Amino acid sequence: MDNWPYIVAAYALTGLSLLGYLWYLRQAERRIRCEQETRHVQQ
Amino acid sequence: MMTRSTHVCRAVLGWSSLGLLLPGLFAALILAPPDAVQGNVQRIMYVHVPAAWVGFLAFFVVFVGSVLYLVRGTPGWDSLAAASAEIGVLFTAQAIVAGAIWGKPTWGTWWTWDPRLTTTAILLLIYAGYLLLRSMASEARRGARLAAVLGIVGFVDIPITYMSVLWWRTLHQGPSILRSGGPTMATPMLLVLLLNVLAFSVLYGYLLVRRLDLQRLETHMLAVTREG
Repeated sequence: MDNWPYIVAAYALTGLSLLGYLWYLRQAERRIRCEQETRHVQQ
Repeated sequence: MMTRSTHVCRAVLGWSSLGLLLPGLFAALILAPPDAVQGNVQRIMYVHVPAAWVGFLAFFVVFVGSVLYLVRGTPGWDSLAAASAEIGVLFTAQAIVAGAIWGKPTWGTWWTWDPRLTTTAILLLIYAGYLLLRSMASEARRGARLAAVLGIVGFVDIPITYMSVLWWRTLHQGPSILRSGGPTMATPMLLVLLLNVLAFSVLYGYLLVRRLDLQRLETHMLAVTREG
């Protein structure tokens, strides 16, 4: 098996953390843009 | 809110990082030869080392941004430092986790209070503390100034972390690239490692631009809210 589960775990966790951070950035941007649009409509 | 040049910068950095990460991943998992002693588990190095490098790079940017913010008082430098600290914490945590996963089959333990591991953990705590300080400050400007001081003082841990394998007896291997006598690594492995270091560095640039864009949006919203 030569430790492939460890290798896969290391790469998967690295990749998932990066995707998670990108998701957080995207969600935060969307939230702010949505608030901006709501304000614009209210005005 | 996003200018055309920012949009172009984001696109170039984003696609460049993907264009480097994918071949880097292929090279790390398939092309690179297994280590003569460690076997395939040594492939974890191709994410562990680049992540650690980006952590150092990010905290250096925090240091520079913090110094310039304290000297010039321009909020942009503080924004740069804050954005880079967040990304630095992410990559340093990745380096520690990947290192622990590598350590289990290699050293027989997930963790040991080895000087390199310990100083890296301290580095993570310092910059996590930097982010916490900013978020908990009662007044934003005061929080920024206090965080800038921590960002400057905390930077001293980086040379300590890097030199720890030379100053003290450690389990962690010593430098295999930047050393007198040249790299000890086989050329194919070195090339794959450098490719992944480049890929992670470009990715850092992309994430930094994205995080700065978000900060600009947040600042703009705050200003609009106050006017309202």
